[in-house]
Amino acid sequence: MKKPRDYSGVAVTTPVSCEYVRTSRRTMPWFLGRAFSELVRRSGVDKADIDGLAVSSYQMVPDNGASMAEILGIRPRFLLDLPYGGASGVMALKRAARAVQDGDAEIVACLAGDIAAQGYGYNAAFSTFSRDHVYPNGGGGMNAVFALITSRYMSEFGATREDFGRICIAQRANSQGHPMALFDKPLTMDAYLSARSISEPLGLFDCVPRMCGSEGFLVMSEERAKALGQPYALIAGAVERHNAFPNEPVVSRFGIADECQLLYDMAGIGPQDVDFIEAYDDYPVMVAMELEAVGFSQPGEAVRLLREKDLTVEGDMPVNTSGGMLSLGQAGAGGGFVHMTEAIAQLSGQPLGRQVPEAEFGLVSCLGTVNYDRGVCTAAAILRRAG
Amino acid sequence: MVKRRPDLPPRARGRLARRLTAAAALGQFELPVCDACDAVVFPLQEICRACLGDQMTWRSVASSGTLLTRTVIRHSTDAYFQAHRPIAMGTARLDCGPVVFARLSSDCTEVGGRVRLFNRLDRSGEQVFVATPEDVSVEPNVVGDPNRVVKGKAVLVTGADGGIGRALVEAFVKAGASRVWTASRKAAGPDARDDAIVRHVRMDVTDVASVEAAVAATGGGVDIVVNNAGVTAISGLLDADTIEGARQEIEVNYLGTLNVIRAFAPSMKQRREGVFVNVLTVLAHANLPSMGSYCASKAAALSMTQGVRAELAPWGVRVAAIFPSTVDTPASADSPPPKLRPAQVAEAVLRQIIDGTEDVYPGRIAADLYAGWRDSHKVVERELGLALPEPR
Repeated sequence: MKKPRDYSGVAVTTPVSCEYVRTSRRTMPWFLGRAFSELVRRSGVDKADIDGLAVSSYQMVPDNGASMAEILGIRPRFLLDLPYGGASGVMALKRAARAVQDGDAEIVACLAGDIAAQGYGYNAAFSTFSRDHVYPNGGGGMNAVFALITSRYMSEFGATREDFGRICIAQRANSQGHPMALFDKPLTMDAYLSARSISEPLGLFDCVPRMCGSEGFLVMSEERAKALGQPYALIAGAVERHNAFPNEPVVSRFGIADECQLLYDMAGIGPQDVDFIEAYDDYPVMVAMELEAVGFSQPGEAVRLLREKDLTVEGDMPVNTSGGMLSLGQAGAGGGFVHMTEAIAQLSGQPLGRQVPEAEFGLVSCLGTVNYDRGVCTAAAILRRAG
Repeated sequence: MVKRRPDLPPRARGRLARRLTAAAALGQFELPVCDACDAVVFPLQEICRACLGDQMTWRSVASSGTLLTRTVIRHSTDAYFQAHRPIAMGTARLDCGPVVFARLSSDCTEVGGRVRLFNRLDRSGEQVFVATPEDVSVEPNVVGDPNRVVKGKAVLVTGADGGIGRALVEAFVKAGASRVWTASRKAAGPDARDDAIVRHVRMDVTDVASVEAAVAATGGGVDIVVNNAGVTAISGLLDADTIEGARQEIEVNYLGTLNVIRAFAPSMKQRREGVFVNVLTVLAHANLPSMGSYCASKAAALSMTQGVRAELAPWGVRVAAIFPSTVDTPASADSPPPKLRPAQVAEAVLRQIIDGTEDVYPGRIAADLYAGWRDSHKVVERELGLALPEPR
């Protein structure tokens, strides 16, 4: 595969996570509007100078990004809708960065979020395949689909519930001190294992709670970021692959497994140089698969990693340093951004929670769009500290 | 759009899934096969993933496969499923290629084991797959549809003194029904039978007051009604001296059946449970001119069956129909063989309730005629038309 053009000259700034609540009488655009106003306020950029907009929300229909531009009162010349849920963070980053490099926009605001309310989220109408062929078999939703993937991973690779518990416990430890953590008390292995069963083998703490909330970040040139006096991160590399392994009867690999080498080639580093990873954590089994796909272990051997490494912010392999969605909850499509905003925050020295010491490279991997029996969209990026 | 009731599973399906539901309603295991490359195409879509072929033919495919994964759902955001936890579900790879999601029988626990898939209607009358161990022949009502249970049910059979009626009563008693009402115009039941299970109730299906009195006499708790009462004038539409025979056929076969359904449906709707089985004939689809007025009345009854099925589906009440060819009863003594035995029809009705299918064509003759009708209804129309004797 030919190495793509690099992302030099592009800065990623102003990571925003806001308004996380369990329920709200507000509509989705209010949450996106809040993230947008935070971007403007914190960056000091003139709203009229934001000439690019990328939005991701499950609740956009019947409206779209153009409606958001009207609502926000901006006049974008670069407009992007990303209905890909969990994968939308890296996808927005890549496309916004190219727009800035190519001069299609000078400052792109990337926004994502949703509300948690009756009739929203994963339900019978989530996708055509789900509505027709999955949901009618017990209405287990996303939990049931990932229960099947988890059970297969366990039997194929010898993973145990304790192994997944290690992920949940470490992420819970990472959320200590995070102002928006839904779960901010330490999780014990006993509590993890004895939590009520949701869809075997998944228990309560394997599943992310639905939240209202929004996420955002800005993409602009390095010069612009410097002029604004904004701390920023750089894009060392980014890849995506969708519908990666359609012939696997049960998915056992994360979709960017074959793009991993390209990602490191772009960044000019190897897995040993990555200081922390923000891995899409809708379910802990995906974190395990992501660690394998980005070269932290051989395929099927993440279990060993989970047993030997310390996944906390201060540990030797920090994973999901904000606590991830398992601790913060998932604000719908905002879950596709929350790993990205945390990586930007870590590398620009402004995390809401604890700072990974001397972090230079952070890896973000994400997964979205569960149409039938797996997440179809996968993407990953390596961000780098500026200077 | 019919509003969902929380006591039924989700009814929402896309247009393509309707065809799968149709196969389930007929008890068939059919999937679309790509005309160009023979790949079985699933999940349902109209472009072949393998070769981009854009033409599919629905065909009967092997229902065997291997269980890939299994879970037990203990939490659902759907009110119906939440009330019916735990629910075993998983994925299976069919030997013909696709991976399907399915509800699993309680003994279908061995991941990697061989399974048989059934294409079934769920409690809402919409399609789901069900997986059981491979050696299972009768799918054990994995979706837990109370309408697929006969044991312990109160049954009412109209026309109970006829050939098929008597066989039905015997079959329901044998299958463990708690009560079988024999309904007919006569004051006493067939063979004057009246015991702990079998009770007689007088009913003239053409008389609304009589039907309502019968509902009251049964205490209103009938679960399964088999609309078997019927008359045959055995005459052509123009051949008959008067229109009286045709009028009587409509009165009994169509309006009489409708009277009974209208009388028993309210209690079933209230209980969100109940089954009607309408005994039609394969000639409901195409007219046999030597008994043309009878066929017309059964065509009316078929159309009515479709209408009440749709009206009752949102209430959890199932309407089924059986389409036999000629049955060996006193009423068809003059018809030539081959004929189905009444017991064969009764067995098919019981099986139909237990399998939860909508339309059944018992025996070779009915199945052949139905297949021919699906292929070309005009061919069958001509064939039946030619069966009329030459004019004298």
